[in-house]
Amino acid sequence: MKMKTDDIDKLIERYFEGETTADEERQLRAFFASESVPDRLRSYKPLFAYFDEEIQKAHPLKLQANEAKHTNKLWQTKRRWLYIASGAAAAVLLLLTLNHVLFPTDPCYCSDNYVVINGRCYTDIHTVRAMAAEALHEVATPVDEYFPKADVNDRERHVVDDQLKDLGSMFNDNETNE
Amino acid sequence: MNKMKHIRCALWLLLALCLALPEELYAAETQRDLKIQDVFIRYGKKKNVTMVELSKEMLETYGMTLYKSIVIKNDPEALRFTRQCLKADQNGARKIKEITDDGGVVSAYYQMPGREKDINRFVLFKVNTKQVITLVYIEGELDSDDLITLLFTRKDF
Repeated sequence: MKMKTDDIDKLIERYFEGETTADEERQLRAFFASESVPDRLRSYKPLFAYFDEEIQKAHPLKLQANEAKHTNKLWQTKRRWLYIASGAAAAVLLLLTLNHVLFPTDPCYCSDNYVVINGRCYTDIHTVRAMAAEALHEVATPVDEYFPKADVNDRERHVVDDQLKDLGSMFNDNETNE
Repeated sequence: MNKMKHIRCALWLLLALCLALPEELYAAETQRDLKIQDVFIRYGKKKNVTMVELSKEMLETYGMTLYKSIVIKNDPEALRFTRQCLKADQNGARKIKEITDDGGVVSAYYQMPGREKDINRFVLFKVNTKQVITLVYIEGELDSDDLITLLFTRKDF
């Protein structure tokens, strides 16, 4: 804001009368710190520069407090981001855990080829192959072996058939003899 | 205020990603759509259970890409559960063979509907007289004839 020279004159007059407010004094100091000071008022420049310097010296704590406030604000922003980031990380972890619990994946990841026996994972390829072959042979077992009772009946039926055949052949022999 | 909006957007995006990720994993594992997968998950690490998984390189000779089997001993509850899963998976499956005893499946070969072209999926099941359950899942280019040949020539892996 540019001040008129008349206003400055009035302010200087009031300043020396001790009637200016703190805000008006600040305006004066700012004016004399600028480059737009008319020649006729240049004699006051060192005076107000000195006052300005003294005021700054007299209130270092205020300046420090301002700086601290600024730093604090920066920290608060950083902390807020940190909270958000850790919250997001926690959410991801929670989701992964839930996913693992709700949709369990394959029980073994120890290898591409593995066998789990009584809860223990083995990766020895010979054991894995042997166990795989055993399971495959088991499902390939012929149908007859599912029903042992049927087997027994079949065996008995074979015995009876054989006996009947023998008997039949005896009759046939008798017939031919006759 | 604007910053908060951005944060909220980022969090929603993160949540969506987390929810979408498992779906991607499921898509990679083709057995996932079958109920029998639950048998492997539920009983795979229990006592009296042997579970095997073989991957692509090991199975190339047989035209398979995945082989999984589980053998469960002395567990009537597991038998009930496995039969339930097999029943659920039978929708759209081709029965190659099925033998039942007293209303329960004792032996079965099913060809499951494939999710990828040229990739066949088979589920083999048997429970023997000692109540030992054997469940096998096979995935690969092999067809049902190849599978039968493999089963009855008794080759080792």
